[in-house]
Amino acid sequence: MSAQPTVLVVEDDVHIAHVLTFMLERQGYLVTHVADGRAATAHVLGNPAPDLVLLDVMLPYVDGFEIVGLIRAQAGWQETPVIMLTAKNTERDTVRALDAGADDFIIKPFQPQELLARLRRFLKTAA
Amino acid sequence: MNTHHLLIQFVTWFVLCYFILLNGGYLLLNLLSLRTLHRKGQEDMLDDLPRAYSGLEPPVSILVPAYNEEATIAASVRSMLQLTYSEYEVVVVNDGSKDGTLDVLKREFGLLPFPEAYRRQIPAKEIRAIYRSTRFQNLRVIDKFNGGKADSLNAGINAARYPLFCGVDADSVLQRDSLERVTQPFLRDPTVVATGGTIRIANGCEVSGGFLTRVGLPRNPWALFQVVEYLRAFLFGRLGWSAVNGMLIISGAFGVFRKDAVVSVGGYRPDTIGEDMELIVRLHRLLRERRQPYRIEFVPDPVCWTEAPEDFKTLKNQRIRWQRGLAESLNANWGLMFSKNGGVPGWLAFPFMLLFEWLGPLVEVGGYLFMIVSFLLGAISWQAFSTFMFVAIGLGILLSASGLLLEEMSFHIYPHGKQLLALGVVVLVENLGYRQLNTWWRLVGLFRWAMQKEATWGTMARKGSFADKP
Amino acid sequence: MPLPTLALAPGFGPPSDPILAAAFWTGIAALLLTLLLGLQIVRLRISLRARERRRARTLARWRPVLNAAIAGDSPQELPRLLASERLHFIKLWVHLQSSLRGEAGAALNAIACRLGLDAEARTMLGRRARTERLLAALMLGHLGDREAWPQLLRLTGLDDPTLSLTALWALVRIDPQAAAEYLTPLFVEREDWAMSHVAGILQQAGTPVAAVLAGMLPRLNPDRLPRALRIAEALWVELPAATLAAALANESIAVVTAALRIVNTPLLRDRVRALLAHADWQVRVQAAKALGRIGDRTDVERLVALLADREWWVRYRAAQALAELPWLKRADLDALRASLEDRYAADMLAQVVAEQDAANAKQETPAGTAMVDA
Repeated sequence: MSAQPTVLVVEDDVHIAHVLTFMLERQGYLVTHVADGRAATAHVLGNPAPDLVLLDVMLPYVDGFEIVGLIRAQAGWQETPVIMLTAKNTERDTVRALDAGADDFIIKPFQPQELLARLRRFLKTAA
Repeated sequence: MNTHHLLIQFVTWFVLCYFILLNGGYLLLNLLSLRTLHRKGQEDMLDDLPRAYSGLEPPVSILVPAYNEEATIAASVRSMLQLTYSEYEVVVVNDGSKDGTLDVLKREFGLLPFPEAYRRQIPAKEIRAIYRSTRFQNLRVIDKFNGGKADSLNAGINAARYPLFCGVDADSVLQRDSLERVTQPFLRDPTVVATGGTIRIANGCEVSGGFLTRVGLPRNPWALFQVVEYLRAFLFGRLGWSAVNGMLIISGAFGVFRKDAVVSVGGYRPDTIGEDMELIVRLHRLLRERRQPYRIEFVPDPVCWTEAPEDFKTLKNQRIRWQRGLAESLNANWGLMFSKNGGVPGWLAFPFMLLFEWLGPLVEVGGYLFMIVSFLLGAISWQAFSTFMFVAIGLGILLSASGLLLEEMSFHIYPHGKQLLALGVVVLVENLGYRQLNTWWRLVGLFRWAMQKEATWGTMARKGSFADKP
Repeated sequence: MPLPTLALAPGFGPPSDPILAAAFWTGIAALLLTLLLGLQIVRLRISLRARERRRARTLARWRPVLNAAIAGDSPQELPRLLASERLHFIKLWVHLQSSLRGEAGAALNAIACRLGLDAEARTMLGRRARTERLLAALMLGHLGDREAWPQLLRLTGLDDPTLSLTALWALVRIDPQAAAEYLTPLFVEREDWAMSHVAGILQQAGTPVAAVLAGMLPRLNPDRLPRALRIAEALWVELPAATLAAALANESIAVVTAALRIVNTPLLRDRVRALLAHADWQVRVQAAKALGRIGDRTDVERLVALLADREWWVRYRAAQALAELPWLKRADLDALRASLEDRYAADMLAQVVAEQDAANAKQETPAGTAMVDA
C-alpha cells in the first residue's frame, strides 16, 4: 500500500509550525497541523490516528503531557508513535515525556535533519 | 455686599483651579508613563522569540483566596496551573466557603489531606486542614475558617514556600505569560519588593478554560464606560507613578510581592476594606522609615482580566467600597505624609491622593453644586458658568482621550477600527455624566467612611496599635 | 435685592475677567489638543495596519526561501531584500535561528550573508534605535561575526541591562573562550544583571568560564564573593576544596551560605558540621542541606538535633536531608519519628515523609491511568 504517511503536528509557534510542515511535506508526508491543546484534544477525540504525532510540550490550554495521556487512552491511537519537542534546560520535561508515554523526544533548539531521521525510524517500523 | 462678591469670585476661582489641577495632574502622570511605554515597546520584539529558561528564575507561590466560588474555581485553578513559568506553586485558600468550593476542588484535583507543619508568621484564622493534589505536584489547598480576603492571604503567606508570592482573585482571568511578565521587574532590579499588573475589562471578551481567547468590547454601556475609565485613570496613571516610585495601589486582582518584605511589615490588615492599597501604603511608610532601598513597580502589559459590574447597583456599591478602602488606607498610614524620608510617596503621591482622590469628591460635587446653584440664582454670569462647564468637561475629555492614545501607542488590544470608533464616542460621553456620577458615589463612600469612623471611636486605640506594628 | 454678578459683558466672546479668560483659553486648548490626539490615534492605527500588511508580505515572500534553506535546499537565486522588509525579515530569521541548530543554522547564516545583512547588522548596532540594536546584536551572535566584536564589547558596558546582556550573549556565541576571560569578572561585578539571565548566557560558555572563575576566586574582593559563588553554583563548577574551606571560614554570612550551597565533597565534612550551630539561621539551613549531600552515618544524630531548631526552615531542610540519606529507609524514618519527643520535630518529619510519598506515587502511575481514575 503506497498511502502517504500521515503526520499530526501540534505546535503553537507559528514559524516552527511552518518549518515543520514544509519539511514534512517535502518528504512526502501528509501533514495535519493544530495550533493549541484544545484543538489537539478535539482532533484526537474525533479523528482516526495518523502514522505519527509530533507534539510540542508547551501548548496553550492543555499541555503536551496531558495530550500524550489522552492519546494513549484513545482507542486506535494507543500504538501511534509520539515524538515530543521539549525545551532545553528542563531535564524534568524529557523524563516526564518518556514517562507519560512518548516514544521519543527532541530537545529544542533542534536539528531539522535529525528530526527527520527520527521520524523516518518510527514511520518505517509502522509501515 | 462686597465681601459676598469676593467670596463668590474666590470660590469660582478655587473650583476652576481645582479642576485644572486635577486633570492636569493626571495628564502629567500619563506623560510620565510615555517613557516607560516607549522602552517597553522596543523590548516587545524580544517577547516573540522562543523562551529559554535558565532554571534560575525566582520561584513564585500563587495565592488564590476563594469564597463561594464553586462555579468557576476549577477552571480558574486549572488555568493557573498552565502558566509558562519555570517553577511555581499554587496555594488555594478556601475561606470557609458555605457552598461546594472545597468539594469541587477535591474532585477535580484529587486532593488528599497532608500533614503539613504550618508556620504562623502572620496571625490568621484557624486552619482546618491542608490538602495536596495527587494530580498536580505544585497545587495545595488550605481549608480554613472564614476571615475575609486579607486573612486568607495571610494564611496563604504562612503556607507559601517560595520567596515571592502572587496574590490573585479567584475570578481573575490570566494569560499564560502573565506570571513571566509581572515578575520581570524583580529580575531587573533586586530592590523591587512588589509589582502590580494591569487589570483589563473582560466583559465582551471570549474566555474559555480560564484563559482569554479573544479581545472584544462589551455591549453593556456601564462596562463600556469602565473600559475608558480604566484606561484614563487606572492604567497609565499608575504607570506614571511607578516611574517615580510613588505608586500607592496594587490591585488585589493581580500583584507579586516579596514574601519577607510583606511579613516584615505585618502582612495584610484583616479589618480594612481596601487591604490591597493599605498594604502598599504601609510598605512605603515602613520601608521609608527604616531607610531601606526599595521599589514598587507597575507592569503595564495586559496580564489580568476581570468582569466589571454591568448594572447600576453593583457598580455603585463597588465604587463606594473603593472610596472607603482608599480612606481607610490613607487614614491608617498618616505617618507617611511629609515624613522625613518620605520621598515621592510621602511628599507627592500621598498628598495627591489625599487632595484629589480622598477630598476630591467633596470639592468636585461641591464645585458643581455651587456653580449650578449660583448660576440659577444669578450670582454668577452665564459666561462664568459656561466657562466652568467648558473647562471641567473639556479637560476631562482630553484626559480620557490621552488614555486612549496611550493604549493605542502601546498595546492596541482592540483590533477592529470600529471598536476604536466606539471607544472614541465613549470618551466623549463618559465625561457627560458617568464621571460625575462616579464622583457622587465616591462622595457617598467618603461620607460613609466618616460616619463609620465616628461610630468606632472606642476601637480607635486598638486600630492605631496595629498600624504601628513594625 | 439682586445679588451682584461677576462679569458684566454678555455674549459669547472670551470673558473679560482675567481668571475666567485664562480658564476659557485653557478649555479651548483642551479641545484642540483632544482633536490632535484623536488624529494621532487614527494615524497610529493606520500605520499599525500598514506595518502588519508589510509583515505579512515579507513573511509570504521570504518564508519559503528560509524554509527551503533549512531543509537543505538553498535556492540559487535570492530575491532582493527591500528596505521596508528588512526588520521583519531579521525578526523571522532570529526567531528561526533561536529554535534550530546544526546545518540549518549554517544555511540560514549563508542566506543572511548573501543578502548582505551581516554588514547591515553592524551598521544597525551603531544606530540609536534600541529595537534595531537589539535585533542586530542577536543576528550577529547567531552569525558568529567576529568583525562586530569591538562594537558588541562596547555595548556590554552600557547601563541598559537588556541591551548589555544581549550584546554579552552575542559575544559568548561568537567566541566563548575569548568572552570568558573578559566577561567572567564583568558578571561578578554587575549586580544588576539578574542571575537567571546571566546563567542562561553562561551555560553556553561552560568550561572556559569555570576555569576563569576558579582562577579568580582567591584574589577576589570579599563583597563580590557571594555572587561569584552563586555563578559557580549555576554552572556546576567544581571548585577546589581549599578554596571552599577558606570561603566557609569567612566572616560574611552571604559568603558562607553561598559556599555551603556548593559543598559536595566529604573532605569538608568537619567544617560543615561546625556550622550546624551557627547563630544565623540561614547558615544552619544550608549546613543541613550540605550535610544531606555529604554526611555519613554519624551525622544522623546531628540532623535529628536540628529538627528541634526554632526556625521552621532549618527544621524543614534537616528533615529533608534525613529523608534523602540513602541508608535510612522508610521504616527507619517512621521509627525515628515515633521516638521524637519534640512535637515540632515530629510534625516536620511527618510532613517531609508525606511529601516524599506524594512524589513517589506520582512517578509510578503514568498520566493515562491518572486521567481515567479522576
